[in-house]
Amino acid sequence: MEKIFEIKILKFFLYFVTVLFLFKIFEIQILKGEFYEEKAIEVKSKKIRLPSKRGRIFDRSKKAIAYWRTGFRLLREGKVFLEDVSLEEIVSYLENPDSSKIFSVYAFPYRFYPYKNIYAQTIGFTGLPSEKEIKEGIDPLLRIGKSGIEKFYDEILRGKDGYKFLLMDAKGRVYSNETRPLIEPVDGEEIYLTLDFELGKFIDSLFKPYKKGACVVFKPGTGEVLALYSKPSFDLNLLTGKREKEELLKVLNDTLKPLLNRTTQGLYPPGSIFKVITSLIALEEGLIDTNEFLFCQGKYRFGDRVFKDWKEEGHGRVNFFRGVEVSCDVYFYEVSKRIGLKKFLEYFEKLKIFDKTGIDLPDEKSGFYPTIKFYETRYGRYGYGEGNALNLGIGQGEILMTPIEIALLFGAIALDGKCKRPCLLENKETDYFELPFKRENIGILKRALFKVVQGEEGTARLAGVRGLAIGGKTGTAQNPGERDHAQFASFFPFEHPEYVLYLIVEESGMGGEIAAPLAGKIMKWIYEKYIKSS
Amino acid sequence: MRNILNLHNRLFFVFILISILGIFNIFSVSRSFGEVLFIKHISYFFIGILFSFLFSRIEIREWKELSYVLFLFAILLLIFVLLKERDVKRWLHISKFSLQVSDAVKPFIIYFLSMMWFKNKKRGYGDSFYLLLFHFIPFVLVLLEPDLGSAGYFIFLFGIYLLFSEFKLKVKLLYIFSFFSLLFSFNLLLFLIFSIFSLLYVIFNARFDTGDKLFLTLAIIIPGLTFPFVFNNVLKEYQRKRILYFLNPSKDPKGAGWQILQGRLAMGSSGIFGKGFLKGTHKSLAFLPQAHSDFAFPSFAEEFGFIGSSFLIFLYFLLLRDLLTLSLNLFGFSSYFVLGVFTSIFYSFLTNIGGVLGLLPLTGIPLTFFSYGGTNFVIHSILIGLSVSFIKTLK
Repeated sequence: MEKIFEIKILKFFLYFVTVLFLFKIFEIQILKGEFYEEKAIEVKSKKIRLPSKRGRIFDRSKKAIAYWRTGFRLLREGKVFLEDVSLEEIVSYLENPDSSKIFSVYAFPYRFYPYKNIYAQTIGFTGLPSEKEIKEGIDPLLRIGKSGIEKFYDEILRGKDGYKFLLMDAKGRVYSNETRPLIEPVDGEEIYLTLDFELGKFIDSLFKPYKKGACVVFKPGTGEVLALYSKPSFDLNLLTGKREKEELLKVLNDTLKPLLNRTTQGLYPPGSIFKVITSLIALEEGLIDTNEFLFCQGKYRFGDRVFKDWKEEGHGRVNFFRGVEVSCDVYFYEVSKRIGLKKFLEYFEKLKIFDKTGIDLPDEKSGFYPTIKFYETRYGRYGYGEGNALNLGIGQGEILMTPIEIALLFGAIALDGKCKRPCLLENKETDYFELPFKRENIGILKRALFKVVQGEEGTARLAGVRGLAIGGKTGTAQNPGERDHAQFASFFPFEHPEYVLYLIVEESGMGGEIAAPLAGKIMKWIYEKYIKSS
Repeated sequence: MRNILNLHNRLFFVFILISILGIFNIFSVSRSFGEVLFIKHISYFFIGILFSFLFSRIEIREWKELSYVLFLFAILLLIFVLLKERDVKRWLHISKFSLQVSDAVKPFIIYFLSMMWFKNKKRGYGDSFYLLLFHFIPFVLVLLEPDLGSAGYFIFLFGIYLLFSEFKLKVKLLYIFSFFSLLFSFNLLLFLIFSIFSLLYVIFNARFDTGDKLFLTLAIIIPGLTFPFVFNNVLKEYQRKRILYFLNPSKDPKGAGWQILQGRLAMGSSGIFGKGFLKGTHKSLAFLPQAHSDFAFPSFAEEFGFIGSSFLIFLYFLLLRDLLTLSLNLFGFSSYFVLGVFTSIFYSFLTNIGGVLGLLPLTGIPLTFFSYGGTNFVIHSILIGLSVSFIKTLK
């Protein structure tokens, strides 16, 4: 064979191809193996989110007042694009093959609130976590509590989404094998509240003629809160899902401030209700004799100033009990004068009635009381004096309190100086709240408060409930330029108090005329549901 | 001589071993593609082995007239299949069987071409054109099916035969230069380097007369210059794209590029020892396209790893080396015939594995003996049998 060269070329070609192939498969299978291995898993396994359910919330009658309904959530490149989309929207986003690569939809359990606007500020709503919260490690696709109970107990209510890892074939069909075991979604825990939503519904019906107000009902013996009602309110369902952003803006811009939980964030001058504190200070300090009478002509002279009674013609002969019963300002001007500004301010420091009650709600406000420093900056060094004490004594000074603070104060009075702090979560042990007054002095005050409702001249006669003894006090807080805030605070049954009620109707009128009758109806409702039967 | 006699057994052994590995792979693939695939393949396997033994016992004669008749028959078959009203005209259906015609006619065409190359004693330019014509006829007919991959075999065979033949160097150079001129026309720098060096070689070579020099110069320049012109001005956009994607499939986002990537993912995720028999996930999820035919090799590599795939390549190397050795030890017609068989299997080995490894364009050629495909398997079994039958003549 003379074609040696050509044969060599041909043989070389075969050897060359073989060696080249071996090198190439060595490169692909060994050198770059890991790279391809990872990529191969990427291509095939798909992570599918299994949404967790947020824990349900129940009221004291074990009725679910926040649970879930199924909606559809539209994601754009893994981020929430639209909440609670309709089928038509899903179709319009997904029918285009290009956009269907970017958009995806999955069923999501949205919150549903059957009582809509009842106790809405107290229950609160959910929403997507903010940038900051995501940075802190919160799952961006999880809805978290934004206000109220939903926020306060978010960590309990919040679930943890799970994942399913599916092997997908090239056509997107699911293949039975699983690359990794499924991570089960963990649903949030359920919580039980002490609130009574039927009571809330009833209070709401009574508030129909009024625009703004609040109502607190709580059991001082256990701290259970039955009602934290605030008006105006909003439908929680509107702030969940589809149009939540627009609705939230609407509510935020509302001049009546529906988002404000007036029971824990509303600051009001307590008005005549504050006379219970004035009374207790005076009794504790031995500044009054309950049988000592004064004569009220409707005005009280102090230096060159004249302080008016709310009743122009005056109350006539007034002792401590009658003074409380008819809420005589002149009597309390005298008492306040005896206490003096210094003692008042000392007591304000000592009494914890202006502090936050510690209720399990976010953003509770503390009340406000003046100090020497406050007076000096406000009126100047010589711009204030004993005259301020007179105003403080009838609750018209610079004092501001939240409804829950007043309710707590009345709880302590009802139970002779010591009661449980309010709490919305069932069976949660709370601390005691104590008033630094002697038991017998509180007893004297309570007798007076009994007369406020049951007495012939009592300012809160209209709050009376047949068969139920009630201790209470009306308050009418002056509201410059507008009608007064009508208020009423009470405890009942009088002999063995179980319930405390506080109610305010903003810009409505006198406490005895507006607030007391409303409170009477509420107390009757509670009496019939809870007290009468037991 | 002993070495040569061992060839008989070794050729059979290696060819059957490759086929058995192929059966394993088809079995694994058929679990997601359907069992029919496996049952069909295993019956072709037995038919092929049977034919291979039968044909190894016969004696083929050099019968010129018969070779013309067989070639004419093959050409008629290729034309006949083109007359059908289908988009892809590769199959000839005879009752229940369907034949892939471009494979089926291979024994006839190899027989005829071996005869032509052996009988043609003149060794000028004209003779080479004459021989090229007979390679062109089946090439064009198969190309029209359209099956560029299978058609390419006939041109490849021309190159191998030419190299192997007794043509003078200048004739061989004419084709070699034309081929490289065309190849390098895609890159101006490469084309310039190639053309300058080869022109210098041609012009200052005393062995060539003026005519030769003119011919060779044209071979160096014309293909390289005309092809870019045709490419840019005559071809339409989609045709240009098709050629570019063919040459560089990784650029093709949806078609071949995706397939090659998936093939690599399957191979690359296997490691040294592979995922284990029947445990390949990539092919079972249909990510691996044509895991039974075009992508049989990555499918096998996924389950048996680097060890398995290099072993398979080694087996092909053994088979091809033995065929080549056999061809080189034979004389005349039989030498060309065996070389034709070698070329057919080598072409499939080169383009299929080269394609899935991303070294060559994807052509859709199955890996002979390993991939699924009845016609291909049985025909090549027969060709192996015929090749083995020539060993007797060496004794």
